[in-house]
Order: sequence, then structure tokens, then C-alpha cells
Amino acid sequence: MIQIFQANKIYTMNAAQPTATHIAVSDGNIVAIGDIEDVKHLSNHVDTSFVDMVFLPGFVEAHSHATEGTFWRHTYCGFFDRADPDGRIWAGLKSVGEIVLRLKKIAAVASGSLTGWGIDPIYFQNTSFTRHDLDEVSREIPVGLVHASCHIVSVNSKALELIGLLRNGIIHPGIVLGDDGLPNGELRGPEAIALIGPSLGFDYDLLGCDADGLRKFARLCVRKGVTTASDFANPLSDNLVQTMLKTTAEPDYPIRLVSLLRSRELSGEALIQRAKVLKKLSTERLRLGSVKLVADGSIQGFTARLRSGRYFNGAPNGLWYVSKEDLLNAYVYALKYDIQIHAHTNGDQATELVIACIKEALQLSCHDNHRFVIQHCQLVDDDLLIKMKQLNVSGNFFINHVYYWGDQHAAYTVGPDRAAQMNPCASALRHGLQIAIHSDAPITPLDPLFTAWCATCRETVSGKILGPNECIKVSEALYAITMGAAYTLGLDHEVGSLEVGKRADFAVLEQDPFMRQASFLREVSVWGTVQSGRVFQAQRPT
Amino acid sequence: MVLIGGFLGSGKTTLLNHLLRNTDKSRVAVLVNDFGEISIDVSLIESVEGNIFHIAGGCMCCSYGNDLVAALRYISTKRDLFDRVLIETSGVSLPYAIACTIPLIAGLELKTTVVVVDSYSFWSQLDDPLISDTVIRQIASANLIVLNKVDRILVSEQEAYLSQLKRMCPEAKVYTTIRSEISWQEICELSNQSNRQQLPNISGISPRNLVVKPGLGQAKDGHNPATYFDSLSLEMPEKYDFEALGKALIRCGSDLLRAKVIAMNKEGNLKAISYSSYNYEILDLGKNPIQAYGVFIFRASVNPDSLLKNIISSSLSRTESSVLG
Repeated sequence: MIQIFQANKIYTMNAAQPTATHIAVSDGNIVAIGDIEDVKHLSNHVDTSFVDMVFLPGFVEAHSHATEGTFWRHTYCGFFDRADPDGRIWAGLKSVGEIVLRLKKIAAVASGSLTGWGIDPIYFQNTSFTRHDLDEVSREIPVGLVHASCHIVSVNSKALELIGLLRNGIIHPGIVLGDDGLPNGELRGPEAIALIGPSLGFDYDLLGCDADGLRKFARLCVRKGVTTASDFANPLSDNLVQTMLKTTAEPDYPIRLVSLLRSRELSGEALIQRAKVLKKLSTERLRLGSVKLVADGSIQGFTARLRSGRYFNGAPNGLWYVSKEDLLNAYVYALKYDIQIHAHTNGDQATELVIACIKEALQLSCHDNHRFVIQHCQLVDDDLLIKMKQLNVSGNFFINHVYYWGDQHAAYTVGPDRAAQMNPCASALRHGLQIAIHSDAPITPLDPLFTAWCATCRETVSGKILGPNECIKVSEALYAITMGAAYTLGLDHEVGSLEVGKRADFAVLEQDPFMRQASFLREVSVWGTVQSGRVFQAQRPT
Repeated sequence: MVLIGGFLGSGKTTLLNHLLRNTDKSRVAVLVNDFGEISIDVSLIESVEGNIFHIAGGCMCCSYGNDLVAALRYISTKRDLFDRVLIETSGVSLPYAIACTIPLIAGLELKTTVVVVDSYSFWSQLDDPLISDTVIRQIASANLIVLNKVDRILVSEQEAYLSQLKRMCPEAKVYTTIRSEISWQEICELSNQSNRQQLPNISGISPRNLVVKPGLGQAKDGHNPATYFDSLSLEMPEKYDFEALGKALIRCGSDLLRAKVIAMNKEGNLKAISYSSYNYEILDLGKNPIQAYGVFIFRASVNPDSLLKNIISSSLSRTESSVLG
């Protein structure tokens, strides 16, 4: 059966036919696009329910984590208003008192344990959240508060007591002590957090995702016009893959999920072989077979590797999470077996190393057809961008950082000059790179139009414009969240633009993002999506 | 429990296999970060079960991947099955974070941190801006340093290596090997030595001679590894509460690498305290007339004035009452 959709305007992201009003769909694929004259031969019936709406290609979230769906089982305590999968807005909490109050309400009905998430001490003059604050919430059950970075967890006295840490004489770089010599409740870094995870019921291996979490994540996607989303670090054990295959195959599952293999047990050829096995299991709605490698840590956590050797505030250089030898090995085998690698680099030294490894792997290999991507890629200068272009490596920028942490990057991490060049979308386009931009949800909220706004305006929380020369045009930003993102995920032949033969994935918008100023991008409201011809209306808050 | 660290290619796996081949009939559990990085001698493996390799003589090898804490908890429940536990860190990780985590698991105690150094690539690693700080941080956390592959360097140059390692980690005992041939006895002997509380001499360390390459002077501008650490020595004429001093040193966290203080305690007896990696030892020096002084090695990025002010003010014995109050 052929469906014909009519919209007020359709932006196709296909340079050969930039706009249209009618689009004909069969079996989830676009079979004709243009005006009524171009499609009327296919069917007499035209669906006019969208005549007031604007279609764009369904947005592609280029770097997110499906586990955001499971976060919403816990209590949101962030500084900014945030919508949950049902569209209910959780007001941002502006003080420690407000956070305690919200958790206390939940604690009154909670049993077992209680976890909040999303707080960022950066917005409270960097004050610590201690066990004394959380003891106000409860002294009877363990209470934990996961920071927005996910690298720090604050817990109450009860939680410390349960794991035997509420005592004198603890010596650990990740366990902060109070003036009384006892741990103050702040646990930093993976080792310290791993101690507490199980007793909070918060699986800190935030990689996998269950059926309920996958459904919630998909609902968030629909609300933001996303039809294809990435899941950027999944151990993809056999059990997890079975769950994901089953859940994404449900008839009303509304997104295409691209889940990347992140393994800490495998490296080199074994890692790439595992990806090859996974690739064969791919379905229309679950795409497997790409690999994620993590080269360094995060800039705001002072664990990213910087070429300058130290941070603006004097903190020493960050940490390597992989060796050069492992990186090189992975790239060599990826070329041999035609597997895509996404490398996480935040610092420029990490990007430099990854580029060097790709170059060496290409020299060693007779295969040069690849689609390697550098993820986050926050600190790159012209030198690195030119090298990326030479090697045909694309970059996926963590542009939401400019808004959420830009002020802090200027003040503490890299200094004002380098902060102004973070996530340099305009320079990357000038050098002819393919680029995408992303949210890294749940680190920042999943919302491609907001992400596009960040790339066009580069405004920080405090209202400063961080690096105006790196702002890109609305059309470039919207391209980055559709075709650009599809390119980095290796799906540009299927999605990312609206043309005959591609999937019928649309973001259904209530206003036209091209017709107003760039600052309006974040205000555009999303009605829902059409995914492979199936219509999904965003859930409205009740 | 023994931790084995060292940069990639230094000879950690060789050491591991050597120890597994010569177990003195003890049952050894081995935890490795990643089977991809390690190649346990196939001739030693009896059977494989998930992420656990069973090895001849009641030994086993298990990969901990991203969950070291879970592996440590598992080991702590199987203590009666094993006499010794070896943990091999990944080539780029810093052993000190793991060393601190071990004692937080009930029943576990770390004896020794062994760091293996590849003598052939030692100077080039210190010169490489990508990895020098990682290598320095690894070596600084050792109790025992294995200077490996010494057959690849000139005998006449060994002394330069040894004194360099001594500067980077004054308290560690250094063995030279060709293929990581260190015995259990040498590892265990060392723990005994530290039990005897021998005080290593760390006086005379200055930032100038922390990292100096023989013949070539300091590393290139901009990436000078020496600038990572700095040191300061000062007279300490007052009386100090040594327990409070030890705690004050620990509170400096990773800002402070090493410290040694010789001074009077509350009662007017001469004491020495030696501090490294979140541990301190206090020694009684009796009534010997030695000049009182302190040496502190800290990160170059911190302000030494406020660091030292905090240490001194919280350990002056006259402030004790206010601390207690």
C-alpha cells in the first residue's frame, strides 16, 4: 500500500531537490517526493493531517547512550528543567536545599535505596555534596546522588556504613575525607564508585540497557524528532543482544538503534572479530557491528589528555585509557575486516594519537576504504583538522559542552582562548570535513534541535558567546543532525535525507526552523516523528 | 597480594609467567585487566571456564575487565583457596589507584607493588610527551622496581639508570633482570624489609636532578618531565605531633608524593617520619644529635607555601588541644 503525506513544507537535505510538499511511502521507503503532480499517479488518497507541519529528515542522534532510559527510574536532581520519557517536566533544582527536599519526598515512600542523578556542583560554586547533606534525606536507607558527569557519586552515612567505609584510616585518592577524618560521602572515579554501586541498586556499569529502558529511551527520541539514535558504549553480551533484538522488534518500537561494541575484555583481532559476529545479527531496527574505543577521559573531569601537558588551573595531564599499541592493532584489523571504529577523544593529545594510529594502520594495510570517526573531538586545531581531512576521518563534536560547561572551560580547564576554539564546527567545515554534533545523553539532554542551536549560537549558560567565529549556519547545523550524523554512523545511504529509495523517516515540526533566526532553533516544537512510514506522536505531559 | 605494574612492553607478562612457573608449590590467583593484553603461557593452562583460566598446581587466572572491585570481592571470598594473589595492571594504568582500593575490600592486604621498567626504551619513554608522565607516575608508586632487559644496555650505563630510578622513587628496591627473573623470595623478602621500617634516604632531592638523562641533559623544552614535580627542604625546629603530621601528609592527597621529616616529638625525643603513597612510618631515633629538617616532594602545580603551612600548622604539638576540642 502506498501512503502519501502532505506537509506545509518538506526540507529534504538532498541538494538536488532541497524542498517538497508531498512524499509517497511504500513499505517504509520513499517511492516519490515532490509536489502533488509528482506523486498523484501513485494513489488517490493524500494524508492531509500534517498540512500545517514542516518535515525534516528524521533526526539522527550521533552520540547518545540508550541507558538514559534506565536513568529515569531514579530521581532527576539536575540544575536545568528536563523532560522525562513521558514528557513530564522535572523542574531544575537551584540549591542543595531543593535537592534534599525532592529526595526526601521520594525517600518517604522508597524502600531499599534511593538514587538521584544529574546534579552538577559547578552550578553551586563547586561546593561538595556530602553525606551530611544526604543524611537530611534519610538515615535509614542508603541514598546516592550521581553527578552529571557520572564520574562522582555523593552518598549518605548509611550507604558508607553498609560497605564498611564509615571509619577512620581510609586512604584512597577517590574517597574524599572530611575534617573529622571520616569519608565525607564524595566518591570519585570508577574504583571508588564501584564500591558503592551494588548497595544503591544503581548499576554503575551504565552500559547495558534492559527492555523497559530501551522503550523509555525511544519515547525520549520521539519527543525530540529522532528516528535513528546511537547507543555509544555497550558490552553487547549475548544476553543483552537478545534483549535488544526482541525489544526493538516490537511492532511499535519507534527508532532505529545503532549500538556500538565497547569491550574491556577484548582487544586487537579478537575485538574486531566479535564486531564482525555482531554485524551479522543486525536488523532493520538494531544495527550492530561498529566498535568504540576510548582513548582518554573528560575535560571537565581533568582526565582528558592535553598536548599542553597540564590544565589551565594547573592540574596535571589526564589519563590514557588505551595504549598506542592496542589502538593501532584495532585499526589494522578493522581495515582488514571492514569494521568501523569510533574513537572517543576529548583532549587534543588523544586526538593526535588516534590520528597517528589511523595513519600508520592505513600505511600497513592494503585496504583504505574506511569510515573512522573521532568522537567528542573537542579540542582540535587546524593542524589536527587538516590531518583528519587527509586521512578521510570525520569528527563528531560534543557541541552541547559549549552551553553547559563553556564558562568553566574558559575559567578552569583550558582557558578562554582555547575554550573559544572548542568543538570548532566552522573550522571543520572550512577544511571540508564531514561533521556531526551530539548530546552524549544522558550527560546532556537528548535534543538535536538544541544541539543545533548550540552549534549556531555557541552561547554559554552565563549568556556569553564562546568563540563566535566557530558558529555555523542554521542550514549547516540542521545538516549535521541529519545527513552529517547519518554519515558518521555509516547510514547515509539509508537515512539522513529524503529522497527516493531511502527510509521514510521524518521529524515532524510545528514551526519552520529555516524561517527564523538561529536563536529560535531551540524553541521549535516537535509534534513527533514518522519512522519507516509509521506515525508516532510525541507524548504530551498530562 | 602483589600488584604488578609497568608500561606496555616492559615485561609484566614475562614476570607473571615466570612467577607462575616457579610457584614454590603455593597456589596463586592471577587477576589481569584484559586477556587481549596478556598471554599466559599456554603450557601452564589446564582448562578455561568463562573468564577464568585454571592453571597447573591449583592456580587460576581471571580477567577483571572493567570491574576490578567485583574481582577483588570474589578473591576475598576464596581466600582459603589461594596462598598468593597477583594483580597485573594494564600498561597505561596507574598502580596507585588500585593499590589504594585493595585494602578497602575486607580481608585483603597489599604486600608489594612491583613496577617493571624496560631499560631499552626507558629514556625514550621519559622523552615522549605522550607517555612520560604516565611512566613517571607508575614508577613513583613502586616498592620494588624491576629494571628489565638490561642485556640491551651497556653495563657502564647501568649506574645512570639506577640512580635515575632512585631519584624517581627513592624508597623502592631495584633489581636488574634480563627477562623479569624475579623470585617469590625476592618479592616477599622485600615486604619483610619494609616491616623492619628501614628509612630510605630521600634528602638531597631537588627538582634539578629529578629527571636528568645521562649525557643529554634535560628533556626538550615544553615537555620537560622535571617540571611535574618539585621539592623543598626546610628546618623544623619546633616540637611536632607525629601522628597528626602523618595524617596531615595523607590529607595532601596526590599533591604530595614523598616526605621525610626528622624532628622532636611532643616529649622532646627525636623521631623520623617517612611518607609515601598514603602511608607513613615513624621511627624512633633516640637521643642522637641530628639536625631537624623536612624534605617534601610535591606536584609542581601546587602552591608549596599553603601546602606546607597546612602540614606544619596541623602538626605543631601545641595545637593538639584545639584539634581535640
